[in-house]
Amino acid sequence: MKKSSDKKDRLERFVRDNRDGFDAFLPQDSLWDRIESSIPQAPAEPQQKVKRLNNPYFDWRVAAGVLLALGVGYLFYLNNEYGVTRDPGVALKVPAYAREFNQYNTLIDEKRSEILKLASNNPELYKDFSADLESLEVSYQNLKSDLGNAPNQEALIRAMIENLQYQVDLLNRQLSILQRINKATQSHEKDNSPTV
Amino acid sequence: MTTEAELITGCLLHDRIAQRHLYDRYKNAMYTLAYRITGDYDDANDVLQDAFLEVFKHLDQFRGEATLGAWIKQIVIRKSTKKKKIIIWQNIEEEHGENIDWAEVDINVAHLQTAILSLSDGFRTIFVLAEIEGYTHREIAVMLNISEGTSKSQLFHARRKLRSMLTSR
Repeated sequence: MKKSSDKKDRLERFVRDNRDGFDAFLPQDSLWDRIESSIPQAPAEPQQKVKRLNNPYFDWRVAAGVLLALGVGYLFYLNNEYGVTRDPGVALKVPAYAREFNQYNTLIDEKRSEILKLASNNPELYKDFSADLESLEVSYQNLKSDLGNAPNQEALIRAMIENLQYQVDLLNRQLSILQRINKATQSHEKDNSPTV
Repeated sequence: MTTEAELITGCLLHDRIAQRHLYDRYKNAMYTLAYRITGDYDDANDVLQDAFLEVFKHLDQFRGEATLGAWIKQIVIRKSTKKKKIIIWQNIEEEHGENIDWAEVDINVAHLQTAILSLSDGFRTIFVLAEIEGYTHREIAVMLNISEGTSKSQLFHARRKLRSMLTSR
């Protein structure tokens, strides 16, 4: 039984011992260009149907210029008035809470960029963190989209602020986890570094 | 040398250079695998294109349970068998008990490679996955949605066919 098993294994051994000789096929040089041209630039976003304007008296370039100028002016006004640039829609609807929203949003931006830096060596954790935060962001966006129609604006605003507080809390916890991991990694590397 | 983790992070952030590095790192092994299963250069190129597009699109679903290479390999195998519409027939009699005697057979890389490519799609796929890629019959059964017995039986027949091709040269 053993003898016949050895005979059977001769082919397996040959394949294993000559594996490098087997890997001899190369893809087309142009294949990367084909792949690259099909990779989406950024995460896929739901596409909206755009209605084209074919009126001969309408020049979209002029319209875009006017809109841009108005938009910049509007943001400039809001920024001066409330110190808000990230969420001007909310600021305009509820000016009394504008500063509060702005503080949270700035804090969230700062903490997210800090997490991105600290998590560069730990993509798995970064993915998990992003997924955790995403659900809070989605619910914030849902609340925000209801802002115009909600009968009880005050309750909705409170829920939005509470959501932002949760986001900040979550980011703080994530940051502290990352800081602990990085500290442990550094001390591990230090312990293992060769002594002269 | 960029680490696998850095490559993954870069790709998740849609960094084109990281994506190119990832492609360069795995393209030859994955193309070779696709070619061995499909038996056709053009099909293998198509498979590789589709597979890497899927890799970049769904990299956020990679959980690190296996290596990145193993994860990409699974995608390439799935795309290759789909491309060729490879069907592994379930044998009524799952014959795989008898060992094959290779003692008198002259085995060399070139002849074996030619012989492997001459196998039928089903035999070739099972042989490549089991003998060259080193998957277990259980893993092959899950990947190809067949029974372990069928995988063993197909491998036995593939080996017997190979032996016959190598000795009749």
